[in-house]
Amino acid sequence: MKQKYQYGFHDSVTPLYRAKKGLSERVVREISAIKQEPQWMQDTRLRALAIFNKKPMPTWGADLSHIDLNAITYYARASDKPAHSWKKVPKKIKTAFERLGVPQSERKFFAGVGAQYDSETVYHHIRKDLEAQGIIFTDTDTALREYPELFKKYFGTVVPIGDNKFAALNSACWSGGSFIYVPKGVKVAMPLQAYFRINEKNMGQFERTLIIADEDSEVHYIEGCTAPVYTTDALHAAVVEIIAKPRARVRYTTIQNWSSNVYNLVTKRARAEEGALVEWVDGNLGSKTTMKYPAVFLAGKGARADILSVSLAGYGQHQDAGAKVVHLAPETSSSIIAKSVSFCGGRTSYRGLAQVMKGARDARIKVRCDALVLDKRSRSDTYPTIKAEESDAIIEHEATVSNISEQELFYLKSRGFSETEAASLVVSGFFEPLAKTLPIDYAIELNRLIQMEMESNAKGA
Amino acid sequence: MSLVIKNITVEADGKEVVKNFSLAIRKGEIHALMGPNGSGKTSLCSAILGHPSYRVTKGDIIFNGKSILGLRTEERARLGIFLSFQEPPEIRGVSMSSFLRTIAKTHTKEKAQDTMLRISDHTKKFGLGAHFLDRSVNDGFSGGEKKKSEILQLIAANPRIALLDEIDAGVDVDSLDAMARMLKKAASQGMGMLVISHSARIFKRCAPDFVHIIEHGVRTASGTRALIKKVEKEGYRKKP
Repeated sequence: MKQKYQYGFHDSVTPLYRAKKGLSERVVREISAIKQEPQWMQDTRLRALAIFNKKPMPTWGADLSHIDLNAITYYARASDKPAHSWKKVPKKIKTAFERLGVPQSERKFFAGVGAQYDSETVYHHIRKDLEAQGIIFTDTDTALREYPELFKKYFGTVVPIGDNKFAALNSACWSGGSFIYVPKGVKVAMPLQAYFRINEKNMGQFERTLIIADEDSEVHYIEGCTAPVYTTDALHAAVVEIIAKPRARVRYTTIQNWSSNVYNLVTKRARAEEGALVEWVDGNLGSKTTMKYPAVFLAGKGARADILSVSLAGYGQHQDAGAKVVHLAPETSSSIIAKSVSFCGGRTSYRGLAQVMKGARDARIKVRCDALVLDKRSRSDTYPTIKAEESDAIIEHEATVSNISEQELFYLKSRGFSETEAASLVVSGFFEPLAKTLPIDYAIELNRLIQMEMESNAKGA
Repeated sequence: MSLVIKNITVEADGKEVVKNFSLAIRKGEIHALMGPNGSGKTSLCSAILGHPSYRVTKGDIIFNGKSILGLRTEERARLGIFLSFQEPPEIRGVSMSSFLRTIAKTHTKEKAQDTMLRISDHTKKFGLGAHFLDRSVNDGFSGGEKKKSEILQLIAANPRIALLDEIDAGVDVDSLDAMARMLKKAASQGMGMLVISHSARIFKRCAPDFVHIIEHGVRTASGTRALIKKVEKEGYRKKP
C-alpha cells in the first residue's frame, strides 16, 4: 500500500447529480439529455455504446479481468457549469484544487488553466490577450455548444468511435476534457494547463480532449491527474485527439499520478500534416494499471513525431505503456524514447508500433527503450512491432535493461545516502530526459513525486 | 577525533585480503599508504566504509571511541568518514551541481548558497569551466576529471576523516598542485587523511606525517617520509 500518496484525500463533495451505477442506453441518453446535446451527438454516443458492448475485453496487454464495469459510476456532476472565475468555483472543490496547487500555478506559468472534477469541468480560464488572438481554450462540452461546426468537423476523425473498446466507451459517455483551437500562425508561448481529479468512489472519468493547431501555429498543453485512494477501483478512459495542420507544432505533456486503485486506459492519437511536429511527453507515475500508447499518424510530407514515454511501477502496479508511429507520407521521421523503472514487485511493459505504409518513402524511425529494474521481484518486458512496406525506410531499434549495481549503490551510500535515497537519485537521473522537457516547477515536483513513490513503497514492501 | 583500525582481517570472495591490520589516524594527520597493485589498499578502504562484499572477520574499527562495525555505510559516511573512489561509477542524468548540493545537505548545516560558493571556488582552482557542474556525475569524465569530481565531493561533505584512494592517478601536474594545496589546507583545519597511492608524486606536494607500506594485505613497514624515498629507490620487494 502507498500510505504516503499525497493526493489521496477525499473531499466531502456531494454531487448534484450522479448516474446509476453501470452502463446502459438509459445512462447514455441521460448524460446526453443533461448536456442538452444535438441529436447527432446522442446518436454517436449510442452507436459507440453498441460497439463497446460488442467488443471483447482486450486480453493482449495488461490484466483487466478484475475491472467490474457494472460497479462503475459513469457520470457524476459536482457543479452546474464551468466557472470562469476561480471565486465562483464551489468552495469545497476549490479547496481540493488548492491543495493540489491549482490554480496558484496559473498566475506564474500558464496561459490558461482548466480543472475537471469527476465528470464535469469546474473551472476554465484563459488569458484575455490570448483569447483576443482567436485562441479557443475551453471544456469540450462548451465547445460542442459554442463551436459546433469546428467540433463536428474534427471530433472522432483521429480516434474513430470504434477504434478500441475503451475509445468506444469514452465516445459513449464522454464528459469534460479540453478543447483547444489555435488559429493560423499563432504561437502560444506559455503552456496551457489542465487538471483532472476523480473524487467519487468507483467513478469513471471519460474526458475527451480535442486539439486543433492550425497552419504554422504552436501550442504546448500540460495535464496532471490525481484521485483519492479507495479500496475499490476507479476507471479513467480518456480519448485525446490532436490535429496538427501543416507546419504546426504541438506538444502534449501528461504527468499521470492517479492513486493505486485507478485503471488508466487511454487512447491518445495525433495526426501530423505536412511539415508538422507532434511531441507526446507521457509520464506515468501512478495508477494500478495503465495501458497507454500515444500515437502519431504522419499524414503529410516531412511530418515529424517525437514521443517520450516514461513510467514508474512500484508494488501492485503495471505500467503497460509505449508509443505508436504510422508513417503515411514521404520524408517523415519519428523518434520514440521509452524509459521505465520497476521496483518493489512492479511491472513495466513497453509496447510499440513503428509502421511505414506504402508510399511513405524515405521514412526514418528511431526507437529506444531503456528499462531500469531495481530488484528481482520486479519485471520489465518489451513488445515492439515493426512493419515496413517501403524498402528505403531506415528503422533503428535499441533496447537496454539495467539495474543499480552494487558498486553504484555503495558509492552513493558512501556519500551518506540511504538505500532509498540512492535509488531515488538514480531514478531521477534516469528520468532526466522527461524533467528536461518540463517547466521548472513541474520538474521539481516530478523529482519529489519519484522520491515519495520510492519511499512509500520501500516502507510498505 | 580519530579513526582507529585495530587488528582487522578482511575477507572478500572467501579470501583474506587484509590481515591483522592496524592504523590510527588522528585529527589533522596525513597518512600515506603505499603498496603494489592488489596489496589490499582498496579492500581496506571498502571495509572501513562497510562495503557488503568486504567482511571484517577479526578486529575492530573505532571512530571517536565507538565501534562502527555495526553501522551501515551511509551511517559511517554521516559520522564524517569519506572515501574517494579509484573508479567512481557514473550517475547519469544527475548533474554535478545537484549531486554536490545534496551531499552537502546530508553532511552540513551550511546554506546551499554558501556550499555552492565554496564548490565553485574549488572548481576554478582546478581549472574546470562552469559547465563542468552541469554535466552528469562522472558521465564521460576523463580520469583526471573523475578525481577532481571526487575532491569536489569531499569539499561538499567536509568530513572528519578522508580516505583518498589513488586520488592522484591520471591528474595533470597543475591540477595535482592544486589538489595538494586543497588537501594540506583541509588537514590544517583538522581533517585526518589516509592518502593511498603507489606513486610518490602526490607526497612530494603534500608531505605526509606518517607513511605505511602494505603488501599482501599485511602492513610491512611504517615510518616517516624517508620511507617513501626508500621505496622509490628499492621498490616494495625486499631484495635478497
